[in-house]
Amino acid sequence: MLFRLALKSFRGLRTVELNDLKHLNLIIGGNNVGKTSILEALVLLYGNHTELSRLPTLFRWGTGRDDVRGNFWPLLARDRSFEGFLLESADAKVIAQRDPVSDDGWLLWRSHPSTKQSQPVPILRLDCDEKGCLLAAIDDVSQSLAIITADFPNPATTTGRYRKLLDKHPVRCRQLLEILQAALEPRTKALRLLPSASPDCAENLIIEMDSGSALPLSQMGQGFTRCFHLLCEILLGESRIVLIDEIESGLYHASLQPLWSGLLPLLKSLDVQVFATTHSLECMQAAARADRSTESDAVSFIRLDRHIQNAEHIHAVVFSADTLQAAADFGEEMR
Amino acid sequence: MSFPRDTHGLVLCEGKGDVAVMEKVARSAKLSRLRFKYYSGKTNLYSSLEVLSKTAAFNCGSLSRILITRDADDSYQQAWDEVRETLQLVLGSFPQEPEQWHYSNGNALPAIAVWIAPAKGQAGMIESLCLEAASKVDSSSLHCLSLFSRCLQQNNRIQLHEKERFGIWTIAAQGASPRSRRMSFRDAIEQLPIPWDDKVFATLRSLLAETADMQPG
Repeated sequence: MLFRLALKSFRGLRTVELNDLKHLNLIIGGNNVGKTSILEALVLLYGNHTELSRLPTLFRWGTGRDDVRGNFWPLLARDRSFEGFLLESADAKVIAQRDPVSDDGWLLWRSHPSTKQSQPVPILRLDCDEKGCLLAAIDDVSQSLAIITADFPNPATTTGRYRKLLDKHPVRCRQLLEILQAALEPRTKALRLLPSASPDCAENLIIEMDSGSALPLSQMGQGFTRCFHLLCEILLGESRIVLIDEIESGLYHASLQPLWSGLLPLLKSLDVQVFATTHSLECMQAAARADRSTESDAVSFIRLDRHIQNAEHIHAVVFSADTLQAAADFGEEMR
Repeated sequence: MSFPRDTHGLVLCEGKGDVAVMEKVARSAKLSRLRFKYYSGKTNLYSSLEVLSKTAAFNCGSLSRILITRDADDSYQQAWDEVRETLQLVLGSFPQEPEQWHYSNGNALPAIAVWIAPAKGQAGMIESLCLEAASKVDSSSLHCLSLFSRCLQQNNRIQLHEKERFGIWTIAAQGASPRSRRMSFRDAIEQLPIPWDDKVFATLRSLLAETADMQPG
């Protein structure tokens, strides 16, 4: 598990050190302060080839066109004259520096000291025309990520993840159902997969209701589907780290606490770590309440603050659920 | 185009009554841009500072100065030592002396100063200072109080606590009122004649002005 993450000269962040990270890390802060940059740093540290190639448009607007990608890669370095950047956790390190051979571009090196990839290998080269070019040797990464963007997931993809969960961990499907019942749809009675020639069709996953009615996943609300997808990713346990942009998107405020209450023990028992951005105080408070009611001690809040005298200076503060409660008692705003 | 960025100073007091006094002194000096909060007793200073140090206002520069106040009680030095140790534990640094501003982290964080009531080097509390100010406009009540205190001490070997002295003064200070009753500290601060612009508050007034980053009016 990541307890610490350091970012230096990365995007808008000069030096940011995040300590006391826990299983659920909610990233908060004003607009354009660098919340998404933390998610992107984690993709660079732990992402596989597919995730890295999608990175330019994962959390930012874009259609995947070359001009979007061309804008993304050179902006990773805070300094436009490019002095490099550094991302570091206990078991992964990414360094970007000028290409010593050609001197007209730069290389991004990654190492995972605790694995066989202990020596830095170049994973991306940015040429002088500022087009990023992913290099080989990045599939040899033991870590993997689950990434849930602010867009609502395709129900067909979610159906595929549920099918995999049912195949690999049928017992966990019961846990998924219980959380769905508690947090999102109390009428949910059972989940059923229909046999089909096209197995991951969204119409094949049926939500059976108490009333006797049954709805395919494609007909459920977007918040339900997104949450369903998140639960599948966590319960599958394939990804040690789950990244979620705008976690509260599509979720009713009263759903948040039962969702966190169901999720926190799971994150601990499966040793899955969530990094999620949010602007919602209700989301924060619900997570803090769930942390206390489940006695999980599994929640950290990461807030990025922009200094009002020096707008270039962004400072990170990490605090616990107990601090959030103490601040409320003391009449202080923690967003 | 640049937009003005508001900053403010915070006066962090021991209790609600202290906040009432600080507000009165600040108002008499026409000081604005001050917030007042209390940490509910000296044992809670640590947790309050810890929360404060995690707030956005503390870290983004909108909170420019923090004045921490508390009572000396029996020992000014002990009170100062306790505040200093708390600051060291929570923030990792502290002012070298009471009533001096301490700047840390290249002025990125709020400057901090400590004021201990009633005055530098003296035992006592905020009530002591209020009584001293009141003596300027209500000498007869204070004279009675002084006689009564001395009588209790000599004849009954009872040393009145400062809060008791203040409480008795609140009865005396109501003068000819037929229903004089002991008043709470906060009610007394609101209703009884205390000259908030008196020179006994000069050091406090000056520190409050610095906290607000203003000249006292």
